[in-house]
Amino acid sequence: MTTIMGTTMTTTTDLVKLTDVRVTLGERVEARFPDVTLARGERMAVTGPSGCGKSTLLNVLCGLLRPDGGVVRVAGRSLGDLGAGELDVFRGRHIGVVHQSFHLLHGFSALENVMTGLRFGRRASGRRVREEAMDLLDRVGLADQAGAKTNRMSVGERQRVAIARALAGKPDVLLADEPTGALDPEASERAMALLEGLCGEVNCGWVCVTHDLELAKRFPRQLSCAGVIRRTGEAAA
Amino acid sequence: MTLLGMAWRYVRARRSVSVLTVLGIALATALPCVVLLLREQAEGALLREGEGVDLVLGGKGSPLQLVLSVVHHLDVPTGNIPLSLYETFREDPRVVRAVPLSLGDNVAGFRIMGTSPEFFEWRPRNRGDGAWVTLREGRIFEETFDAVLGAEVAERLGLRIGDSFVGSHGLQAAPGTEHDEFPYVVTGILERTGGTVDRLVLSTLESVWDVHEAEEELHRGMFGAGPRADRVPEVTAVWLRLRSPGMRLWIRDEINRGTDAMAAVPVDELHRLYQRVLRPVERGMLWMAGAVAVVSGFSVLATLLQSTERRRRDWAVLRTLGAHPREIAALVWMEAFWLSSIGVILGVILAHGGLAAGVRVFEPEFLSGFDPFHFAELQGRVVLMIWISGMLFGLVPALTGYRRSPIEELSREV
Repeated sequence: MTTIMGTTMTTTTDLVKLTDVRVTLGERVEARFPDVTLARGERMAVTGPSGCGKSTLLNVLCGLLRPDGGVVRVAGRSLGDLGAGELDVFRGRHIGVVHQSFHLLHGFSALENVMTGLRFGRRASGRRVREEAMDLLDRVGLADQAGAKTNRMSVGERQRVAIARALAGKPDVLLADEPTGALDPEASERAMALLEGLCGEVNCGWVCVTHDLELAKRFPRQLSCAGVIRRTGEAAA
Repeated sequence: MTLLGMAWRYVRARRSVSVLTVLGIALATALPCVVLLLREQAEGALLREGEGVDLVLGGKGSPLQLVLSVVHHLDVPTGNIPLSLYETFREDPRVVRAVPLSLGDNVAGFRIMGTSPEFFEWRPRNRGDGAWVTLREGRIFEETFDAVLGAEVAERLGLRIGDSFVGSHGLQAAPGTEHDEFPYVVTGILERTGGTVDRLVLSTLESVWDVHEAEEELHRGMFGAGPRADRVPEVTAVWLRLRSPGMRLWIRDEINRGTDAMAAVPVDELHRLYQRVLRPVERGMLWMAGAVAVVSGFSVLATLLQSTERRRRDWAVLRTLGAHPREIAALVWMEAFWLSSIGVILGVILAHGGLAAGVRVFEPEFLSGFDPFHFAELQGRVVLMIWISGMLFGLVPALTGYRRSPIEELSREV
């Protein structure tokens, strides 16, 4: 066990481990993923053309999609062993997700969005939640917009709120889906630098789905999903 | 951030729909509250006055009309009876007290009632031996045109001790019918009782007789009628307090067998009125109020179901952030809690505030002494029922939130 930023972290060698994972996607169509492992602090880009199964892999990794075969282990637990409610709570505690279209809560301020991450992720409550959320917003450069409704913010600002919310619970693994897909080059660079910095501080594993090969080159490890989806009965490539 | 706080933000996020839903619940709450408040206080006011008098004697006609005219002062009298009847009953050993009443004129719509000093010594049966009226200032009448004013009359007409006024012919205000030659002088003002006496002007029997005798003379002069026949002094009614309430029916039947007068037991007549007329109306209104409450429950349901479609994405996001399905269900249900709670609180305020304003504007005579801020006996239970039903309806979308899988909403995005 290691303590980083005041949080006790699991120090299992393989933070994420996929073994023989198979997902049925339709009649006679399935995705068979290669076995994957990810250690704490390790970063990996998942690449491939549209529709190749990148998003399906992320769904499987965060437990939103249960595989039809194989084992997914995250932070030492097999996700298949967890019930629906348990899985949600486990996800909140161990996995942070940055969605491509941010998925911020409308009608809520930037601060409230980040507090939601703390509320459900770390099950934290009270005044400290507000202080921590403010601190995170400060880190992403949005302290002065804490009270602003997110639907009135720019795309880049919303992305930073989403990043702060995903990392608020200090997850073991961060899953990011095209985190810079909606941003211009300058904002994209800023978002990546922010993610790299914050993930480094939290020391979490990071899986980033992207179709941008230049972006993928920033990651020490790359996994291509090309050829993952196949008709049932076809031999593996 | 608490779930309750988050639910409140969702309620505020769709402000216009929430406001309409809250208003619906408020009206659904206010309606039965108003019915209950009016029923309880109207019934209380009518019966309270009625229970105070054991037996009423008056002209032949409708017993209910007699009671409503000379006890509650809401109707016209049935006719006159000889004063001798009053004198007979005053001496009757079965009678503790008898008070003669004579109606005929008004001042600005307030009835002028001729009576005897015994009126002030009247002890209503339902109030023990306590005095039922007390003088706030001045004295009771001694001279023929001395007048004692009910509290509301004095307040509304701005009359004080020593002021004078004239009455108008009839029981309703009618310009041009004033008896200018017979001015009354205010000698006393009564304390407020919350009863009909607040709206009465009390004077001597002789004042009523004098005014009407002069009026008849005038008519005779104008229309050339024959010489006046010898008049037998009459009164409109007599109130009786008996030695025992058990004697009421016995004496009533005894009087009703004769041809001179009619007797009515106020409490019996009012109960009959309630059972036959007011109770079915009240029951119908309560059913209607119940239907409105159910409709308001459906409006909560519709509001939440409508937002369910928009909210699926948020629920999926919250599940991704670590919210348990139970917490999603609780969040949705808490919106129903907010809508119902604000709705019923507003409804209660609306009911009492509306009644206060209504009583002030319309001044219904039968609700003399009405307290719009009094809580009716069943009111708490009815309000609780509406509150709970609103929250029960909230369970339907809550269950939807509980069952909804986040993958459907996010699978294309994550």
